[in-house]
Amino acid sequence: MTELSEKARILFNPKRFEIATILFLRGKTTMAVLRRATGLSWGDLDSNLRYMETKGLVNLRKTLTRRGPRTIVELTSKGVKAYVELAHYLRNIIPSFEDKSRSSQRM
Amino acid sequence: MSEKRFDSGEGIEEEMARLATLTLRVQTFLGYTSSTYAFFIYAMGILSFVFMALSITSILGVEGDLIITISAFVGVAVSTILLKTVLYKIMASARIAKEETQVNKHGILILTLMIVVIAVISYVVSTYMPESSPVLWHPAVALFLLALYLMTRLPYTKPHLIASVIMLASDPLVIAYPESHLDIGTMILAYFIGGLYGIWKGLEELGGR
Repeated sequence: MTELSEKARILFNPKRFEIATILFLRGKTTMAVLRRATGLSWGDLDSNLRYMETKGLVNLRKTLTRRGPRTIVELTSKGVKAYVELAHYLRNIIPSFEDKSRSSQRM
Repeated sequence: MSEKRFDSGEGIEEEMARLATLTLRVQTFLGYTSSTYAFFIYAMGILSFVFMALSITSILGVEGDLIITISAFVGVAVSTILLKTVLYKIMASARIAKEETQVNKHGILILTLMIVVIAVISYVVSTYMPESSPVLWHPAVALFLLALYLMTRLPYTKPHLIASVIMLASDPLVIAYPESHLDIGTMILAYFIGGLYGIWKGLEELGGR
């Protein structure tokens, strides 16, 4: 199994992986949408996004809309690369789970 | 995938792995869908402008080859703007495809080879069959689609490969009968089949293999 890069390891966390998955599939997203989709609290979502921002994985941008100020979140190029790397890594480890489940059924 | 939905320990990793697999499949599906939209929008854009030009030249009773050619180019331009401003904004996957798409190490070589082939075809046709020069865009577009596939080698650029093969296969007839409008007809057919292939492969990806 190949080693994960530092950026991909940052996303190897359930909450950050879920946030990144939504950003990967949706593109630019507001924090409100992310909160609804993940079910995370504002504090949890904010701290994870700030951490990802310091590592260069997401861009956070405040913008004024007709409904008031909003924070737009977007994966950076580095974020996209890290997500794809991690997703391929995770996809490749699925057979190992299936092997384990088969061997536990035999016992 | 918030914490409540996870067990603990290895269960979390397994859930993440399954979500990752699904996400990659959805992304491939969106990539194929983007290709299909692109083919259909280009086909409709070009066809509508060419038919409008044909109608106008027929109503005015004038010779219209130049008008038809210009209309086809306007159709391409309008379709490109539409794809860039609407489709890419709607479909995040298009943006991701752009970020993920890296021209492979043979990219420059492939592009150079295609340009040389186009130049040779252009020289041969314009020297020996000058009446076929107006349809030279047809093999050029086909080779460009082929180059796009060879340079990216992404699963969702396969519709481009299919379309280019159909266009290249029809090129001898297109060049032999330049007045027959086979160029437009075979291009639209190639885009249609490429688009259908994109839909089929995209749905297959979502259904799993």
